[in-house]
Amino acid sequence: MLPHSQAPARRKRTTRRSARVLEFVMGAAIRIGGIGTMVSVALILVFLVWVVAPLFQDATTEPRASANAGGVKPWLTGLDAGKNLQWTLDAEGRLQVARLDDGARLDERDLVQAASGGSSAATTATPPPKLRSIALDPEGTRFALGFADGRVQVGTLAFRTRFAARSAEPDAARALDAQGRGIAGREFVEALPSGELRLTSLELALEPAVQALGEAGATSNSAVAALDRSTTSARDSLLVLGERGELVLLELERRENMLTGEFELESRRHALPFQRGANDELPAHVLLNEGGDGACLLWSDGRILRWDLRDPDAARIAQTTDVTSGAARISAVAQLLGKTTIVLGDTDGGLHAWFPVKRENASTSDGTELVRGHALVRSGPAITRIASSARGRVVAAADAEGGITLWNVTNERELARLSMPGGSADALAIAPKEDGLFALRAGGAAAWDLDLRHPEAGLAALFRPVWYEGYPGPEHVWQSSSGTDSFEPKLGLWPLVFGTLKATFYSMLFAVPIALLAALYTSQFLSARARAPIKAAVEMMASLPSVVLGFLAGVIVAPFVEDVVPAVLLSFFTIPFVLLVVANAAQLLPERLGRRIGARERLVLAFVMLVIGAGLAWIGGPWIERALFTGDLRGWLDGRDGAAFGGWLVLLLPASAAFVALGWARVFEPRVRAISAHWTRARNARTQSGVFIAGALCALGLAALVAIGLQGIGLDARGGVFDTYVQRNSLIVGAMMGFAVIPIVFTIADDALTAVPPHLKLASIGAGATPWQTAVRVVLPTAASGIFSAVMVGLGRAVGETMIVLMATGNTPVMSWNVFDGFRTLSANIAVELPEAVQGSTHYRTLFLAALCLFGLTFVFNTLAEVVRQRYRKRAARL
Amino acid sequence: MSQATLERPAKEPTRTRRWRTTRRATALSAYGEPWLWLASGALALALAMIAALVLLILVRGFGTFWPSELLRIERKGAPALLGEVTKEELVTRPAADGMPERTERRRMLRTGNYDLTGHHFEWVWDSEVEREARPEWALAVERTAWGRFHGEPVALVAGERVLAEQPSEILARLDDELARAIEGREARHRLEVEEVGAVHHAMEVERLTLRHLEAEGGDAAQRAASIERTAELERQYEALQRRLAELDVENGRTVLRMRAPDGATKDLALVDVVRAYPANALDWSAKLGVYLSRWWEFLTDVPREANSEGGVFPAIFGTVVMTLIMSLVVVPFGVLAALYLREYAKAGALVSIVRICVNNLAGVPSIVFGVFGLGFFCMILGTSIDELLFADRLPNPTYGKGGLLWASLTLALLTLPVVIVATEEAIAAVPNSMREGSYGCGATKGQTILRIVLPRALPGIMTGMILAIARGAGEVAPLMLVGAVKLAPQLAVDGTAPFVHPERSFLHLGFHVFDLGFQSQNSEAAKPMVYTTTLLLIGIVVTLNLTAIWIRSQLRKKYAANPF
Repeated sequence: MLPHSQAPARRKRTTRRSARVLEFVMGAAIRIGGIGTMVSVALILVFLVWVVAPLFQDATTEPRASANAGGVKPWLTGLDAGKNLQWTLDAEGRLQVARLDDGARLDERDLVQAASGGSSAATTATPPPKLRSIALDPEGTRFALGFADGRVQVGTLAFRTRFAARSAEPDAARALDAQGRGIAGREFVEALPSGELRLTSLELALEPAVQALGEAGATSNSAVAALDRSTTSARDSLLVLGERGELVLLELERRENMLTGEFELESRRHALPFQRGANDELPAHVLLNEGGDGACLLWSDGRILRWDLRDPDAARIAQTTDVTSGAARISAVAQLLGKTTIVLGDTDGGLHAWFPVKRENASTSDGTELVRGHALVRSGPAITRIASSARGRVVAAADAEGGITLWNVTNERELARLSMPGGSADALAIAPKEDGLFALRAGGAAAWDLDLRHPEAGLAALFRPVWYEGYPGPEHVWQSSSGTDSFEPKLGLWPLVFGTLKATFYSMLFAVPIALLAALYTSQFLSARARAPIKAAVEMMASLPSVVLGFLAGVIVAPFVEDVVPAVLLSFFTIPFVLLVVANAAQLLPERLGRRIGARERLVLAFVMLVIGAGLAWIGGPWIERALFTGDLRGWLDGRDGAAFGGWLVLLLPASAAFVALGWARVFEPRVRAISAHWTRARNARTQSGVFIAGALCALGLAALVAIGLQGIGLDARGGVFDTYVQRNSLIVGAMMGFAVIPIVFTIADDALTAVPPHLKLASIGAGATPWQTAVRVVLPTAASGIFSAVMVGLGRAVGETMIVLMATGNTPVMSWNVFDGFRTLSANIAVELPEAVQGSTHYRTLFLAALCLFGLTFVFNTLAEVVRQRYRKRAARL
Repeated sequence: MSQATLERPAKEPTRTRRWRTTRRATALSAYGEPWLWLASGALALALAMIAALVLLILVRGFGTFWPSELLRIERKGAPALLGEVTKEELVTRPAADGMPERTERRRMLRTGNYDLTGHHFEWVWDSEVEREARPEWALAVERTAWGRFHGEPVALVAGERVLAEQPSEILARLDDELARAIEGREARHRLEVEEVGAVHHAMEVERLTLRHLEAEGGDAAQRAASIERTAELERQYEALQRRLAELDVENGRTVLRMRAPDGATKDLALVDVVRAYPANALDWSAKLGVYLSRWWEFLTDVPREANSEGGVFPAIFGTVVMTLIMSLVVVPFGVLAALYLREYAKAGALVSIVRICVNNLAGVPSIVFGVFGLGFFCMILGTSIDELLFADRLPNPTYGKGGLLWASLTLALLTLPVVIVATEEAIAAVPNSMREGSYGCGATKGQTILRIVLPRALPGIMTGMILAIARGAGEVAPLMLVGAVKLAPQLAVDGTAPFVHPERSFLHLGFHVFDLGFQSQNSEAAKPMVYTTTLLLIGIVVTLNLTAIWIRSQLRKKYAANPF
């Protein structure tokens, strides 16, 4: 500012420095602050997308150095968690542990020697019986060996890691090479950045061998052709197939000897009644399920014999089926984690996943059927080996041409396609953390670093029905966590989206008519003096914390409504009906008296009618329950008893009333109006009352007729819109969400209606229209876009509301339109599960995706509202 | 507008209809009577819903703390009960045990004495009642643990000595003894919090120092000194523990001997008693005293009994501090953004898109902001801060979890659109003539904004701020993700350096309501607390909103009076 004392002639032309500095600082601050704020807001979207993006990214693979340690033809192989070590087992029973990268050997064990019990040197005269078969569980730790003399042996195989200071392990410290790795004795040594050493070694534990076939020591015992092992906390189960077709279920239990304190292995043998045709070949594989209460025998030609072993002494065949088509022969088998799903590869290149499914009309004796849940590949080069992951649903399949394909079974997503140089793999292993793959062949080896990202995710898995293990068919399921390790998280977002839509639908159904009618009445018929407090009260309601509404809904309203469901249902009919009755009654009054009912008196009377309507519902509720729902609505809803008629009547009555009203207004009314033009007001009113009564009866009759018809066809609303009653349900949410949505819709709609230029209204009234005609035919169309945007904003609020749905629904992610059932919305799901989700996990990212969905949904609704409102403003300005 | 009015008749196309003779009467349906009634019914319903809700919360919220009388009910074949009647209903009982179907009244009695009976509440059918009475000396005792105790006083005992045996005598002396017991309790609390807390803190510091020394391989002498200091602290700690034990014995000496309604006697150590009053012998003013003292306790004390008793002071504190930090962040940035949009950015498509987006942001569900806050503030920013500054405390997160600061920032983002929109409106409402006048006097843009625009827009900005605070105070969903907890042992501001701990979890009124109403073990006992907490929360939010509305109306009046 310029000092006033200075005369104009001597006025400074330059701006004061302080003003210039201020100008600069303010300009910079406002620009930086303003743009920065906007950018940080945009960051929200960017961040959400950044977190969600890996769900949809493809896996990456990177070859890494590897070598075949002994140069032998491997049978089985495995990696350690750090991808430094490999173990290989060859057909001779030699177990080797070597470095993955250069094949330098750390350790070598002979399982056959170990099995024949190194206790006495005398047995050296006779060569130890040969190893004939082996079973390794999907985790790659528990195994079982089958020998030529009919014995079996179980054991575990695990990499053990320990940490030590350099000073404590001088030998190990010396063994380190330039990369900080080395071998010291049987241990692999690695220098950590913290200065400590990490030492890894393979630990092998073998239980004493057990005679599974024949008698101990007899030379005529049949050899173990195939076996499988499954472990529960109580015991080990082994299914052993002998060379001559014997099938034995062996149960091993570790018991502590009370006297010596030592553990003893106690075995129980159950011979299974397996009979094979005279010329039939031997089954190629035996597969036991996780609990050891079901098993499959699998022939190379694809025949499967499924056993029900729930009672081992009364084992029976549950199902016989053929899993291949045509001449294809099974060439590779693997079980997924949990040992329920079997992945089969055949010589035609087919790769399929099979699992048992419980079905109501199953043709099998135990009610379950083995079904092909997933067909990953239908044809191609023959599959030679399949390896499954120890932590998820990923399998790697090697084919005869050296190709290796990685799949996630559940969502049938191909993750990566690799190629092994120089031929097909003999042994294949996925690293324990799913971050590496190792393929081994007699003369070579190949390894890859994998980054699978989120194999179980992807658009199809999140939004399309997925056939999960054990489900009767592809379904939308959200079930993110469970108690067991082998549990597969089911991250179908659709049930949550459905829940959100259901909540929105029912709350809008309740809120929009009330809010719009109330706004119309307030803005067009009430005086400005009466309007002000009403609007303030409604706006106050908009600012109520939703947690309060949620609390009231869940703790007060839900238990209350539960006791009076029929009355609540009835009140949806009695309240409008009572209002309509009073509308007709008011017309019957003498004109002088009728004119006295102004807008405010009408409001007061409406209050009274509200109370009367609610009272009628209260009294009539039990009566209706007896008449239509066999005296027990909740029992009726459960579908235990009662006819479908009552439900249909309740459902159809609004529709038939609307139909009758529309029919009257469109078809008959113009004619009646033409006749009645010269009637007196009283006569008109009488006619109209008669029409109303007739219409009401018509609507009731129509609804009843259709309901009887529908019942006659055998249709029932139960199972659809009506079903079992749950205390916290959509009805409650719809009503309580009304508290949140009504004020918003009301306020915006009222603003839009009030903003209609008064000259339009005046012109309409002046042209002889009644206030009602003006409101409906002039004001409403003019404000239509504003009303639309009000509904959209309300919709946005309903979609994103968290606390009310969290507290007033049961939060079960089910997909049904049942009014009396709960649901789980996207927002409530985030609130419930995100605090527990592990950062960076698929679950975590999927929840972020849910947030992104919400963001997107509301953004679309609000933008739509805003654009319409802008256009409306322009149009309104022109009027 | 007036132009339009003038032009309009000319545009109106003339139709032949106009020449038809008018009807003598308008059809009744033209008045839309049924629809009008339905519309008024809808408005009445909306208003009735609001009224019912407000009434319910007011009645329940204000009524909770009013002490009601204790009713003694002797039942057939079951021990007698003594308690407040909390609920009464008529229930139709199906025919059973040779009784026909009948409608019968049942009452819910808040019996207390959870430590004796295992129930807080009991339903009593009228047919079970043998005799009812209101014993004159029935005493309601509120305790720090186990909830209430209802019974009749037998004696007041200090150690071996019986102080009083007559109920009237006991009551006469109870107040003094209770005051003394409270003193003892507070002394113990001070000792525990201040001295033991200080030793604890020192031990933690020493532990971290030792860990640090070991990790760096520091010299042995330092390590030995540190270990020595730790040992010294442990000795101090033990000494304090002994003193605490002595205090406990001393405090536990005075005992109120009570007879439970079923005849058992129970000694209640006065140190565990919060309040005791003869419910049936109170006159109106004494009841008011109990009522007010309960409100006072509610507003100033910490919660106990899994939040279902005691006060909500930490929640009030958490809510206030959080909204304070939030408004400190949101107002400057919101104003800057609004100023930029209105005064600096060139009006065009981009600015109107930004404006639409800002408007829309107000409609984005709050839980989305919570997700962002958790993912960005806690997990990324917080973890980075931990790695940089608090590496020695890892793996225990300091900032890498939900906390007051992150909650405030999340809510700041959430309420940013409110402030931007309100400020923009206020700035837009400043007449251009004033700006032009300022420029005309030679002021720069900065000076104009600072001295002309902002002062005039201040009430509008205030409105925006208050609305933001009201929204922030009532939001719960995002807080569940970024730091509100059901139990926070320490406030965010306390006596240990650095005195302000923005990384700590906190209690929040809204979350308190959620937790009590939805997750409480004993929801029936928690209900009264939920109502009062709700009342408090609504009171705060409504007051803030009313203030905003009032400021807005003042603002409008000012502009209405002054055409500039």
